[in-house]
Amino acid sequence: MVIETENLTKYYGNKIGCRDITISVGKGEIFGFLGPNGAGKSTFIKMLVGLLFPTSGKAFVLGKPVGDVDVRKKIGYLPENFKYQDWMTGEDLLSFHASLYKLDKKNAAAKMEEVLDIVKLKGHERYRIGTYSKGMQQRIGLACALLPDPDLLFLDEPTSALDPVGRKEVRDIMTKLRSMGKTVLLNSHLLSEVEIVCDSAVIINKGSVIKRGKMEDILESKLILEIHAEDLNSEVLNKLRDFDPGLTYSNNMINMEIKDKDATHHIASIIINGGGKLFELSPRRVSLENVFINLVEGGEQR
Amino acid sequence: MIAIAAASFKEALRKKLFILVAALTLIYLILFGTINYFVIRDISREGTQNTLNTIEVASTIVSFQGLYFSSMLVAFLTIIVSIGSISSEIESGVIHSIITRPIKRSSYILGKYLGMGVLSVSYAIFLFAAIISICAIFQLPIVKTLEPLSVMKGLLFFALEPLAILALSIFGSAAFKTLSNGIFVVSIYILGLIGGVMEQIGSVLNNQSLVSWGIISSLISPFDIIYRQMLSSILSNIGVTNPFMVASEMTNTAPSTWMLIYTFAYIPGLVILAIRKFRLKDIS
Repeated sequence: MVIETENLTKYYGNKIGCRDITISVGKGEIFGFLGPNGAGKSTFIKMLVGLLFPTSGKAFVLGKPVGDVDVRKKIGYLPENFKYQDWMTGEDLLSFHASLYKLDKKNAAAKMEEVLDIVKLKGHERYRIGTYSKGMQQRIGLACALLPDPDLLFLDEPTSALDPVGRKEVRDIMTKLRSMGKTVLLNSHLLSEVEIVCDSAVIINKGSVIKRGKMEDILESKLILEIHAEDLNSEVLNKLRDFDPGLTYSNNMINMEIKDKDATHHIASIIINGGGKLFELSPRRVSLENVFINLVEGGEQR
Repeated sequence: MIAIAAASFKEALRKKLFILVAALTLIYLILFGTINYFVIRDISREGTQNTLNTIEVASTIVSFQGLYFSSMLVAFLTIIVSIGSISSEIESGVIHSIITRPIKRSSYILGKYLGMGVLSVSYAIFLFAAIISICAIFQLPIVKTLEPLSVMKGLLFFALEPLAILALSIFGSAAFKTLSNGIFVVSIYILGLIGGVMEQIGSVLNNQSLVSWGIISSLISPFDIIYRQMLSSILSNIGVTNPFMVASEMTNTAPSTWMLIYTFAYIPGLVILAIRKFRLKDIS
């Protein structure tokens, strides 16, 4: 396992940062770490990268207990709202981080070229970072994190300052890293993004895990079925309610939830055999956003 | 550690306040040259060269107008570049991407100390050399009597003072917020000045309790001790004067050997305290 935590807990005085977080992340995975603002996501990442010291519990990263300095040679970390020494140029910053990673001079120059290319900032490296746009600042931060050719990359809200094109570029970088066998822990509240890119995820709220698993398990493989049909009688509608008692029907549109794809053709035949005219029937997966909101709101109500 | 040191050195040089210090230094050196010019002119006009009075005036110029004010300038530079050296990086979040790299927290502190230490010692050496050179250019009578070895010894103590202030400031910056640390360091620096005067007034008046209070404040803030040691190293052969001389019979006393040993221990002691404070600090 690349990351393993056992009941990792952090209290700030009496206030909970996060509590009893147990996760394991395998090699070559993009792992999503989700939760509303203030849920304890950043606290968790900061413990794994050695900024915060756990109150209790254990954590191992690349097989070493957190805090091991040498193992950090293979770890990249992009903090949330990446801050930099604004008097430095992009090149100064990269060479500063290359020396922090203890890259030798020749290797450092080659790596700097390479990461500038990856984050598409070539030609900007001689300007002061203070003159960069927000997105460029975030990308130079990502470039710093990529310098050591990391086996494990921690990204804390990497795309929140980026425009859609920038987001896609960061997603592409993540998937490219995965294809190279690298592991990424992505902390984000941009759920559509997590849904696209992550293999597994945990959702935390108020410092504790409320859902975990492979992405398809989290999405519960439930499907939403949108049906456009006319001339439906009550008998047909009642039969459809057997699949989902909570279905909605108005303006010849039915919206219902089904457990698996197999139900789709049953539903089509019920409508047609019952004399209805079927114009459109489209199954789509429940979005992560729906699952997330249900879980978080459910948690609040309890 | 070297990477941190180099970055801190460059950062301090780029601070706007550094330009202010450079301008102050220039003005100060011009003023100091002017004082020298007029003193020498008046001495030669009155033809009182080599009298005791002249030597006293000249040594006051070197010690008070020269080294005392320049040691204050060095202290000022050291304090402004270092009070936020760690705390401001924590407050801004710059530190997040630094100490998560493969460097020990102790190396971070030592790197900061090294980078700013080199800067403030270089500035101290420059200022010291400038003062002595100006005195030499104007052929201040006292300069001829200075032994090169004692000047070098004096320079060592002159450069030690910013290193001691830096150790205190780094500790404060690891422990407190930038503003609090500014107040902390400046208060302790001033305490040292007052303590030094108390101790000397106490010794003139034979008032043991004043002396004791002076010593206690010197333990917290040994900067004045270092200054006095520096002065007595340079001017030992001609008798030294103290800027806060309140009685004519009062002479500057060189600090005791124990006090000097304490001062040497003060620097590593505070750096170690800074490392201990920072080693397990939560950075959120």
